[in-house]
Amino acid sequence: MNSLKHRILVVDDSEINRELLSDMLSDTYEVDEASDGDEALLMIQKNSASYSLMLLDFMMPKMNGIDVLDSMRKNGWLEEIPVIIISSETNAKIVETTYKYGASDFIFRPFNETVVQARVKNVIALYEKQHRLSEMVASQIYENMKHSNMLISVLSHIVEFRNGESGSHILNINTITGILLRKLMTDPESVKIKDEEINLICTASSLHDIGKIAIPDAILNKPGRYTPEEFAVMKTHPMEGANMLDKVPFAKDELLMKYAYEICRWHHERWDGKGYPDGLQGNDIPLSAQVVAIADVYDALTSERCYKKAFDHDTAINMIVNGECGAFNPKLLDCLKSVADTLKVEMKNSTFGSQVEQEFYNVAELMSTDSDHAVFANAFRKLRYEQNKTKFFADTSKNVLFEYIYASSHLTFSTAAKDLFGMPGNVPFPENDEPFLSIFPAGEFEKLKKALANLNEENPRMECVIPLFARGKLAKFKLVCQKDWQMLASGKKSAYAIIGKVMEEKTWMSRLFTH
Amino acid sequence: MDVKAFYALIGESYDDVVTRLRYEECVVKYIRMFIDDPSFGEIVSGFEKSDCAKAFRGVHTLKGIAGNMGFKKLAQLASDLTEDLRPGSFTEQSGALLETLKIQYEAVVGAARKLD
Repeated sequence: MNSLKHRILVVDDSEINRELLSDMLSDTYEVDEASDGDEALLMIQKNSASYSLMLLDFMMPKMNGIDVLDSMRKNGWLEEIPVIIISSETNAKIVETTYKYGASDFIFRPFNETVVQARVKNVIALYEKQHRLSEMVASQIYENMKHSNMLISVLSHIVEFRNGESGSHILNINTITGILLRKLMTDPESVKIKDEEINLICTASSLHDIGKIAIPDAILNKPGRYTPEEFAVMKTHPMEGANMLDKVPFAKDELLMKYAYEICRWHHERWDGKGYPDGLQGNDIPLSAQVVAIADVYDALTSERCYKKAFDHDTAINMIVNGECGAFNPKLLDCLKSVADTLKVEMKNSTFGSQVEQEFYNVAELMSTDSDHAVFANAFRKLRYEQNKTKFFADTSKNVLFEYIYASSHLTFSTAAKDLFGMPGNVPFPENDEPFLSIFPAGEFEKLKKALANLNEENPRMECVIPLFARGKLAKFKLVCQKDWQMLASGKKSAYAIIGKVMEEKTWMSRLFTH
Repeated sequence: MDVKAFYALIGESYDDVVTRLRYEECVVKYIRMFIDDPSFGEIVSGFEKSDCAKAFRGVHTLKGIAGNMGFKKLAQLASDLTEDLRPGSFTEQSGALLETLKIQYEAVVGAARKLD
C-alpha cells in the first residue's frame, strides 16, 4: 500500500520544524527529511525525482531556499517536483523572489495544520493533472512520429530490396545526411535549419529512390554496364519519384513532403549544372537534395554492389572531394572533410544503433530539450544514458554479445562478436543474410529458431550448446539468450527483442571448474 | 506540570497552539525538543564571532519555531532582532535586543524543563 502514497521531501535545518511537518503529513504521505539543501538535492537524485512535493525552508545555512530552487531548475526537477516554501519570512520582496524562482506556493509560519494539509493536497493534485495531460500529449506525438517513420521505413525498404541493395543503405543515408547538415549548421554563414527540420530531412532522405519502382526489373537489376538506352530509362527515376509524391492527395503542406519531393527530384543534380533531370546549378538545387546526393554517393562507394567492390572510407572521401564522382557544393565538401573521422566511426558503429533506435534518439533528443513536455524529459535522459552505457559495454567488453530487434528485423553484434564471426556490426534481416546463415552448420539455425520461438514470459531465458563457424573453424559454443516482450498500445504483448551472449567452450568450461 | 500549566506559566495561549497543530501529544514532544534546539546558541555564537549572517540565520529560525509553538512574545522579540540584523551588520541596538531575547528565551526553556 505504501507505494501508492505520495512522497514528500521536507527540507529544513531545524529538527523541530521537520518533526512538526512530518507529524502532520506522515498519516497521508510518505515523508522523507533532509537537513540542508545539499542533502535534499542528493536525495532527489537518488530517488530519481520521484517526490510529489517538496516543503522547503527558506532560511538555511550553506544553500538557502533560492539556491535549492535554482539547482532544481537547472536539473529539470522543478518541472516535476512542486515546491512549497515555508518560512516566517514576511518580507514581501523575498516572498516574491521565491515565486520568481519557481516556488509553487508559500506557507507562512506560524502555520495552521489545516492550511498545510490543504495546500499540500492541492499542489500535488494540480501537478498530477498537469503531468497526466502533458504525458498524453507527449505519447501522442511520439506515437504519430513513430507510425509515420515506420511507414516510410517499410516503403523505402521495399524499394531497396528491389534494387538489390543492402537494408542498411537507407540507414546510412539517414546517418550521413544528419551528420553533414549538423556540421553545416556550425558554419555561421550557412542558412539556419532547425533541429526538428534536420530530422525531417533525414526521414525524407529514406524516400530518395522511390522512383525506381517505375524502372523495369530487367534494367534495374541488370548486372554489368547499362546501354545508353537503358541509362536513359534509369535517369527517369528522380522525376518518377517526384511525380509519385506529387500525386499523393494529402499532406501537401507538410514539410516532410516538401523535403521528400526536393530530395527525390534533385538528388542526381550536379553543382556544375551537368546533372539530371533538370540540370539545376549551384544553390538552385535545394540544400536537402545537395546533402542527400553526397550521402548517396558516399554510401554507394563504400558498399559492395554486384558490379563493384566496396571502397574503404578514406578512398571514398578522397574520390568525392577530388570530383571523381560528381560535382558538389564546395561548402558541403568542406563539411564532409571535417566530419570524415566522425563518419568513419559512425558508419562502422551502426551496432546498437539501428534505424528504429536512431529515430528514437531523435525524438528523445527533441523531447528532452522540449520544456513543454518536461515530464518525459528526465525519463528520456535516463534512457539515453542507459543506451549509451549498454553501447559502451558492448563496444569495450570482450563478451560476445548480440541483440535482435523484432520491429526493425536488425541483428547487431558487439565488437567482440564481430571479430569472432567476421560479421559486420549490423545485420538487417538476418534470416535472409547469406554470410550470417553461413555461421551455422546445416539445420542448426532452424533448430535455434524453433527454440527461441518456444520462449515465453514465464520462461524467457534459454541456454544451449551449439556448433558454430568462428574464425574459419567449427567449434562448440554455449549460447545464453533472453527474449523480451513489450506491451502494445492495444494491451497485447509482442516479442520485442532477443539479447544474448555466446561463450567459447573453453571459456565456460574453465568457468565451470573454477566455480 | 502539564502542558496547559506550562503555557499559563509563560503567559501564552495553549488553545491557540492546539488548534493550529491539532495533535496534543505532539506539542509536548516539540516543547522538549525546543530545550535542545540549537538556534539560540547559534545567535549567541554569531554575536561572539561577529558573524552577523550566522546570528541572523539563528534568530530567523528561532522566530519561526517560537511562532509555530505559540511562544508569541519570544517570536516577537526574535522578529525584532531579525529585522535589526537583516541589513547584514550589527547595530547599536543589537546587543540590547539580544539581552531582552535571552531573558524571554531562558524563561521559556526554564519552564519547559519543569514539564512532567
